Amino acid sequence: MNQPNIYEPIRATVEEVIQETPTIKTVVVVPEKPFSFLAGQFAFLTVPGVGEAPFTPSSPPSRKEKTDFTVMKTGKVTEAIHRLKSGDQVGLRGPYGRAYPLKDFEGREVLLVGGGVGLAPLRSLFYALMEQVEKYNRILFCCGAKTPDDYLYKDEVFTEWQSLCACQRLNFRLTVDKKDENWQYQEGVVTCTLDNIDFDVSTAVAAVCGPPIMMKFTTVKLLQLGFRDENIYLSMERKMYCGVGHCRHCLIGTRFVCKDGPVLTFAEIKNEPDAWA
Amino acid sequence: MERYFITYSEWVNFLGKKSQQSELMAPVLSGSFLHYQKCQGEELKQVVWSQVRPVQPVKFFFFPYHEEILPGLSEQSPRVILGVTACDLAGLQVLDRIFAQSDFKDPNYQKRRERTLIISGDCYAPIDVCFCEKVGLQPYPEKGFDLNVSALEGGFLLEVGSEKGRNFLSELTGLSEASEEQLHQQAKMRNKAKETVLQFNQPFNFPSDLPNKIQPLLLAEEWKEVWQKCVQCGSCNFICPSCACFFLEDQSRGESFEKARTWDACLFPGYARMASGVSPRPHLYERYRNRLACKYVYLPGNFGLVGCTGCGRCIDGCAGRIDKRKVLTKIFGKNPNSVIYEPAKHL
Ligand SMILES: Cc1cc2nc3c(=O)[nH]c(=O)nc-3n(C[C@H](O)[C@H](O)[C@H](O)COP(=O)(O)OP(=O)(O)OC[C@H]3O[C@@H](n4cnc5c(N)ncnc54)[C@H](O)[C@@H]3O)c2cc1C
Ligand code: SF4
Ligand code: SF4
Ligand code: FES
Repeated sequence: MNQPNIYEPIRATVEEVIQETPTIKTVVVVPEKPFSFLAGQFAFLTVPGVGEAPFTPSSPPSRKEKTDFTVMKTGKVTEAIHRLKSGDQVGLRGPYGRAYPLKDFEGREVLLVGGGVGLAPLRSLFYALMEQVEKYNRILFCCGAKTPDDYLYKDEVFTEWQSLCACQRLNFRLTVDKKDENWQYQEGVVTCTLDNIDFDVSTAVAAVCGPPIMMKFTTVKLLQLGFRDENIYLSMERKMYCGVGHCRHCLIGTRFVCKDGPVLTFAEIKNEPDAWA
Repeated sequence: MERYFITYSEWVNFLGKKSQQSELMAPVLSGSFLHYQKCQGEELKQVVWSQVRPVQPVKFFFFPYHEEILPGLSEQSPRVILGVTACDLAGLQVLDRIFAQSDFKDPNYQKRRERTLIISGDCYAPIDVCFCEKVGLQPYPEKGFDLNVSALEGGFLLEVGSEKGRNFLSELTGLSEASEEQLHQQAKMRNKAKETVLQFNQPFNFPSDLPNKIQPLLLAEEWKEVWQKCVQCGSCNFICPSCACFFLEDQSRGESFEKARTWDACLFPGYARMASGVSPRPHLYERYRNRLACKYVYLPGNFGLVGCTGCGRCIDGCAGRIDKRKVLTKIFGKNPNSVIYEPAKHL
């Protein structure tokens, strides 16, 4: 009878706040009780007195003692998150949802496509993949942002991760919509990085995360390239309140983005009249 | 099934005694409509038996318009709800699936549900908006009750539906088994009610296995016309026995996390709008279609139950005077083969 209240968050303390871009910050929180998640799952972050909002952790799932959330400032809760300082108290509720089926990815080529703040969940997935990189045939990580300044995790993307490519299973393609004089990679929207991919598209999997419009165009591109509907993993965003399949705000057809997602395959959503925002 | 007969005065006296231990809610005429009211002692004589469902569905008792959810309810006193119709039992079943039978249990809902005894009742006087028969239900309860009451001449037929219901009756000694004649009387009234519903619905034409049949029609062009008088008031959502959407608000004060929840309506433009300002259903016709799709496709897909019980409240209460049965007739007037269901169409 005395079950814990499903809406009760775990208390957590902000350890550090990192300014990634002018509108995006990463907050590192240390939960009071053990908190672990799998790549693809999400959690609600509460700023007491303001509200809570869903975010996908961006840190490696294997790092249990603290969790990163990379948050773009867009409204009430996210503005309050941007005002947080180290030592502040927040709440953490979750994890919720379904993880990426990493077992199924084994032996296949894996494509990650991220745009803007969409890099956040892919960073967590990327670290999970790298922990057993030998199990995947090849990994290609395509990233896009508006300008070089809008890139998240600059030290990692441009330096640390590049040095990992020596292992040959891994490659990056980086692009910006508009380059500056120091930019040494591609220019154009993220879908251009998908031209001339030499993957075996009959088995390759793709994980896509970014703004709705980017998700849509990337899906079109992947379908043109021959990716299978069931191999395209889309991080779907929906308005969410409960995270537990009760409030029904997040439904795409019969699928709850909070319980069956947030990552759904194109095969799972393609027949729904309002799958795309 | 245990079935007993009890005289009118015995039953009302018995309930009068019960009302001293539990809060008793029952349908009472207020103006020209039935409303649930708290009844005690003599007031029980005003209870209206075996008529149409009251204006508000029983969901109001389990899932109020606004409540604090964190921290949840600490106590719930025992309550008996009388005269719950079959359509409302079906609505309650949907709420049970959402809040009490899924992997996550809603603390308040569960507490209220456990402390409530449901005494359902036959409906012998359906009204013109009722269409339970059209969605596979009958105007009389068959399951999901603790006790069911059917009004007969001079008394009531009591049907025991659960252990909780049996216990409720335990102080009534010497109850007589219902006679063949009394069972026959009940069957006759039930059939008459069924026929009345069917008669009211003769002008409408849609299949009773809606879930399978309507899915391919969700992209029919007709949806762009049928909603036109909707003023997005949300009444259809709020008055529906199975609509249970809500939003949460933080109410934290000081050190503890606190939360309140309030009903939400999928007809409202802000319902599904995301932080970026975009919504998956920006047009009103999409939201109107979504409400029907939720009842006839999504809820069945989620829980194996049809979400619409045919209670007709959303027809009665619609500010735009939209009769959903006309809408369904129009949608099903369309030849399903003429809807080209093209997955990538909206890409
Ligand atoms: C699974 C998932 C993962 C996500 N991961 C990330 C991530 O890693 N990084 C990131 O930056 N973003 C992420 N997002 C998006 C992020 O959740 C939103 O940006 C965030 O919810 C915005 O909250 P806000 O309060 O700042 O916005 P606002 O739109 O200002 O919302 C303010 C608050 O007002 C309330 N509100 C708004 N509309 C209504 C309404 N119609 N009715 C009642 N109340 C309302 C809500 O309580 C809401 O929290 C993710 C979203 C999902 C679903
Ligand atoms: S959709 Fe309308 S008729 Fe169906 S259960 Fe809800 S209120 Fe009643
Ligand atoms: S009750 Fe009628 S007018 Fe109001 S939101 Fe529902 S369909 Fe629209
Ligand atoms: S967020 Fe409430 S049902 Fe998914």
